[in-house]
Amino acid sequence: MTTAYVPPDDSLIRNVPWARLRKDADDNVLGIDSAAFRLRPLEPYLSATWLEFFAGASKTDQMHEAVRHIRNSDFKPTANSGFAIGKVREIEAACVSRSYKIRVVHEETADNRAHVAVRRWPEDDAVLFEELAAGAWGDLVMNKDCPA
Amino acid sequence: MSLIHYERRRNLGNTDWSKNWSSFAVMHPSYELGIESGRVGKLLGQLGHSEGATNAILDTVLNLPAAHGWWADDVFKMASGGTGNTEVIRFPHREVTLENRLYDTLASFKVRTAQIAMHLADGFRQRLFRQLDSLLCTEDWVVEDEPPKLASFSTFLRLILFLRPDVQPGLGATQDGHLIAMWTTSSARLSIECLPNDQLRWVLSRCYEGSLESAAGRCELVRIRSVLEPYNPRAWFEHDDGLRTP
Repeated sequence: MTTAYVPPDDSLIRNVPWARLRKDADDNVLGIDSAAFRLRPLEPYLSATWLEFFAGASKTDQMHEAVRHIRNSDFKPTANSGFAIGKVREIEAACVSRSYKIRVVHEETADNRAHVAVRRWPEDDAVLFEELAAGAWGDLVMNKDCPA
Repeated sequence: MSLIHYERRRNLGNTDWSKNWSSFAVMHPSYELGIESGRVGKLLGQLGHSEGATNAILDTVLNLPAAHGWWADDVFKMASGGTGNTEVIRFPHREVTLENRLYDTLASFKVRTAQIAMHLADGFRQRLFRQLDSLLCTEDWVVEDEPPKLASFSTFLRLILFLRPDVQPGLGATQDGHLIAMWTTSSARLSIECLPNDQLRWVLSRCYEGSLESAAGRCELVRIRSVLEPYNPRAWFEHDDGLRTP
């Protein structure tokens, strides 16, 4: 079976819990904290969802469809969580600049047909994760702002 | 290191403690033991302290380690050992649910904050409590995440007292139980992860002449000011009226 890589001009969307959103002291959301890109212990890859897998007249339509799909999966994003969006090419470039050659692979799961496994992801690289959070994977959409 | 916290219990057996002055109990989670406040007063009397008002007793118990060189553990050991003291109450075992764990975490953080309240401006403390309520809300907590540890929160409080920033930070948490203090300006971000025992992990990024610069490191709390100095930390810490420490 051939490996299905996600095209470099396509985008990934990844849930960011409330605790990993960047906030000010009044809890106004300002972005994504770098800790959002850390692997859990024994987690073999970073999970995301392929945005262009979904049909839609615009990027926004695709994003809303992806969020609906994630909500209907076994994973339930909380009301105040967000979604980080980034283009594969830019994410890969940021990783290469830190000497990581990642693999962005479409790996369908039972509950998410658009699931992506980002393999060879570093366990912990604070500088890389900060550069992703502040740049390449830093676009943020709040769950509550996406229609049902 | 001792870990001691209290909680209000509206009902315990046939006693409604909320109706009298001993409306709280001092708990020791490791031992699953608790001491009702009136009995704490008697215990303190045995240890040579006068029994005072409720708040004074609570303060005394919570500050025993600092004030007398004892750990709170010692008080519980003394209470439960020796003469077969019956003043120690064994509380019913509580189910370990996420809600209970987050509640216990929140309570312990607020008690720890209360212990140093005299060093914090009221506005800072009130805002911090709102942030903690929001961060540790059950509805938004990821089940797989470890609730922040008290040792991490203690490092956070010492960081605030050490830096005395004008700008109060945003709060986040890692999946393995560490608090994150976040400062953000339009062009620069700073995150400081508070580890136990006054250890810090920091990471920052900023736009400089159109390109993104970033740096990260790990240091002792007392070194953080020097470590951040090349990155103009005043941009994050100054010029806001959120926190004014005395």
